[in-house]
Amino acid sequence: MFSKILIANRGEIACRIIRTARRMGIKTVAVYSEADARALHVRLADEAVLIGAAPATDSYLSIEKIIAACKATGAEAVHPGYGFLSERALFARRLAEEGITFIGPNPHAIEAMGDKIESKRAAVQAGVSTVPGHVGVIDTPEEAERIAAGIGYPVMIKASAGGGGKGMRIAHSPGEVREGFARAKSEAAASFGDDRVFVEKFIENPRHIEIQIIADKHGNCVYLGERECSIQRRNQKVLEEAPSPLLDPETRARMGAESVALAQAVGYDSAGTVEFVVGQDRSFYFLEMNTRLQVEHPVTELVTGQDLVELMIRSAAGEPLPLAQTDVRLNGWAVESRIYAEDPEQGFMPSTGRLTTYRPPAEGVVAGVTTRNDTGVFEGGEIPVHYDPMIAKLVTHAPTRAEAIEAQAEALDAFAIGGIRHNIPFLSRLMRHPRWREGRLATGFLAEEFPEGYSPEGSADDRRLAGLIAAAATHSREPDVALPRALVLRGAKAAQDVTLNTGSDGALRIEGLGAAALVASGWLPGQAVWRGRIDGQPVTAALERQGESWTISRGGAVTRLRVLDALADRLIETMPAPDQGEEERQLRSPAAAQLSALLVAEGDRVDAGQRLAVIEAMKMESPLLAPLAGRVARILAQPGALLAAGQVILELD
Amino acid sequence: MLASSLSPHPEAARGLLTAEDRLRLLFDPGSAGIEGSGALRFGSGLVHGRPVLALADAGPGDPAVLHQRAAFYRRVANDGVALVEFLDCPPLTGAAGVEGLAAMDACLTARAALKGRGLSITALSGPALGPMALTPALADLVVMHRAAGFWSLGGAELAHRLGHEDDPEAAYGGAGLHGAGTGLAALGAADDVRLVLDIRRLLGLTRPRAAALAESDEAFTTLLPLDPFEGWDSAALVRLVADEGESLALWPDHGTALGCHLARIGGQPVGLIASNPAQNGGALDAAASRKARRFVDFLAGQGLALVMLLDTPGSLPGQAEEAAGALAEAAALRRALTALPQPPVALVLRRAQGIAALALGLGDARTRLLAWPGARIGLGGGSEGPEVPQPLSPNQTKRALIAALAGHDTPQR
Repeated sequence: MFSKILIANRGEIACRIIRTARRMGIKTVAVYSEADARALHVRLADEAVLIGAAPATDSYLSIEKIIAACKATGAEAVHPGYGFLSERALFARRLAEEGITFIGPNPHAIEAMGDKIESKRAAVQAGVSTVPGHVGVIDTPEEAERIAAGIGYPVMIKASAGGGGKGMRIAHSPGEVREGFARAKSEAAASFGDDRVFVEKFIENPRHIEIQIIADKHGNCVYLGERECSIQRRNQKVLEEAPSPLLDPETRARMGAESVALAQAVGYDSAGTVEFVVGQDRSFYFLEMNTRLQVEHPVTELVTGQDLVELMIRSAAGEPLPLAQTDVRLNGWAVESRIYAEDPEQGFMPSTGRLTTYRPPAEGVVAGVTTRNDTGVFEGGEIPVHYDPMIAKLVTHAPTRAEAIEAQAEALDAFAIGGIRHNIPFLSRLMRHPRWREGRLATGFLAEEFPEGYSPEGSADDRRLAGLIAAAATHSREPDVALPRALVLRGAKAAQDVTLNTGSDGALRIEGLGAAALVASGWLPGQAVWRGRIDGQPVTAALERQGESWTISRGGAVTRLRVLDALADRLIETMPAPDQGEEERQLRSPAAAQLSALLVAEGDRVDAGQRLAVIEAMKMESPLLAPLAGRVARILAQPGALLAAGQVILELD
Repeated sequence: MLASSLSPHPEAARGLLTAEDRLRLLFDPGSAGIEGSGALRFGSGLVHGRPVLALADAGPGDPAVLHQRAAFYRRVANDGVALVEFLDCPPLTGAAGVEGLAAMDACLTARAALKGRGLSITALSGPALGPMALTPALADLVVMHRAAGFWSLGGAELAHRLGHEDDPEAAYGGAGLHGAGTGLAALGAADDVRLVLDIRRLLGLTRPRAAALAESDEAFTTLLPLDPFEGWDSAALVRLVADEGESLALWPDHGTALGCHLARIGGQPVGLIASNPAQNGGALDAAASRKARRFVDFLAGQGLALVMLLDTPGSLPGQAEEAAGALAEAAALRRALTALPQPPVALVLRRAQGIAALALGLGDARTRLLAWPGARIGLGGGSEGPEVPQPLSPNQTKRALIAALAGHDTPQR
């Protein structure tokens, strides 16, 4: 076994690998970019090596820098995690040349599965069910049309080197084939530098189900059940679960056996995932094979009790698999939510910056329900602009699917994040969606159920509970103000008069929001999660306060309320609108971003609407315009500076 | 009940309330007793459970009104409670001659007698001009309406007539002048309601209150920039130290090399002084010393503890500082610290050097001194001297501050 391994990755997956390595008694080496100097994976590892500037091409994608880090620290093996270099055969080869073990499949297997056409050929040869189609490059639209007619409509035209939905077109007629062929080809050339496309049957209302396999260097390979990942947004997975609510044991066994056959056909020797597109009738067709650890691997770990990272390390070290297919048992149900720094109210725009609040729900096992939170962040840490904005993977496991979903919903309500925008309200809304709960899934789920995107507005009951929580929390913050107390809760659309009074058993009696309610809670000011009982029913919500304004997030609804004593509320409405003059003279960064250019100097006269600066976040550049005409009085940030949301860049006279 | 006070009145358009509304809004609902007529309204009640007496101008004053005011000040002194006064008084009428002078002096004498006998706050939602302008100067804290508050010897008209000056009215006593320039106004408010709510908040922050302690103080570990000489914004540090992340910055636009905040730590109301390394690397200047001295005086008067969060390379040098009396201000700050009811707690983050370290009382054996790893404290300037031994791990900061406030031993003493 290795004594020291290097993790060529960052974020939650680096932390997750370090935890298993530590449990196995293996020392760990983290590599990090300048942007990650204070990242959690750097803290957790036994050693850490700076490998370059923030852009991934200068650091996490630099094969030679990682090899140099291995040599400098004496690391004997490298775990690549997912993304970055994890599926680069060249990386595995270069490591081998340097006598360093790649904790992943051999380069031949990576190459064999890396190309969609080649991998489909291999799948056909291994007897794996594939989508009816033409296994080969298509050169002309006429050829595409002829093949489509043979397969039967609808068909999918796909780029051979594709991914992420790029270079894909659905066609229902010969005309659409001709048009789609041209577009897919040009998009593939632009996106991947490879314009090869192929045609296959388009499965309507499909589901995405994948089989986890694990293999060793001795020809052994088993499958560890499936994961269903049909809830996707723009081909990015949002929720995952294991097992799939669709599969029956027979289908599972067939999919597993075919996956193992494919792996063995290409001499696979590590963890891998065989992805299938699955019809609602449980027909399944090979999609592709991912030759790495998947983001969503924890759901498999929770239902099988296996540690996939440990199995990968042992396999890379040459140990035979410690389990046979008959040892694999699926136990209970696991659900995973991907928590991202993105704003669901603004079209899922990435959000970066400092995590002023990060309070995940408690991990562990309570009454047969497991809560696991894989993360690479901590309170006070940064979500850098340079990388994938994942914050955490929240996983719950319980004996049944319904219980696992309920546990996930509760855990999401008890997850408080501040300082950046995040998608927890959206995930929480999903978790309560009846179609999700019923397991009627398809890859088009989100497009069908959220055609207008996510809205934070909740039901009347959501608003009532949020009002009760805000009123009770206001009283908890100001316990010296005697009861009874009249408050006004003012939301975006309406105001409600409520009266707080002493109820029975120390509870607070709140009137004015429907029927009088008894609210009891041990919540203390400063806690980011409110827990209590409303009319005897347990309620949990994340809450934030700014002045007298509260934001209550629960069950996918986000309710924003200003809470004032009745007199203050009435009087404040008579006051003139605040003068924004001072703020208007300041140019602020609208989001956490990098200041990529400053287009003016101190003393310059500028016109209203003139471009003053350019910021960059998540590879997107945005110009910032002068809010009004004036003279640049002070410049407070220089090009290259990382800006917090709201940070002042310059001031005008 | 409130119909009469809520009816539209000319002041509302200017963001102003009536005297009665100011008093009603000040007190906890249901606790206010309001009396008086003519030029003054008197109020008594609770603010966050704390007994407070208040008065509010309702019309032009005269010598008789001044005597009424003086009598009220004496009542406040006698009761030993906090005073909030809303000053909104046009120039005195019928105040000429010895009678007016005597009435004004009686008023000032009674007002001055409140010093050290409870908290007194003056809110300026209107003019305080001429002789009446001396009254706010005797308050512990002054809060100004940004648009309507005016506090001046005589205003622009007088300056134009006698001094041949021709500047706008605000230059002679507006909230901008007293917020950033003289530093006499501790807070500025956009409108009258905000002004009253700020006073309520201020009074509330002087009361102890239970709050949750974060499970982890990891956020402290990322506050300082990796470059030891890079400036940084201490606002995030203040948020982490303060319970609930809530603090109220006093004199926020004046003497900005230091921040002075009211907050609670571990439920205990405290004053927080925080270096501002984003400005001149945190070097102490005359204005910041003066502000800090005022704040320390205020804390001493209120019996509140002081916590200092320091990152200062020393005093800011230069002719302007010498001319501003930086040395005298630093010495006055040091002297003021001796009047605090309990020894201050000081946490040094990177450095505290030279005259600044002395002025902030770090040399005093009674100061409960804490320091983060790598911090240097001494008489030299910049970052000289050895690192302090037994540093405090940043992720223990809040717990250590609470323990130090409770009088437990600190690592550096």
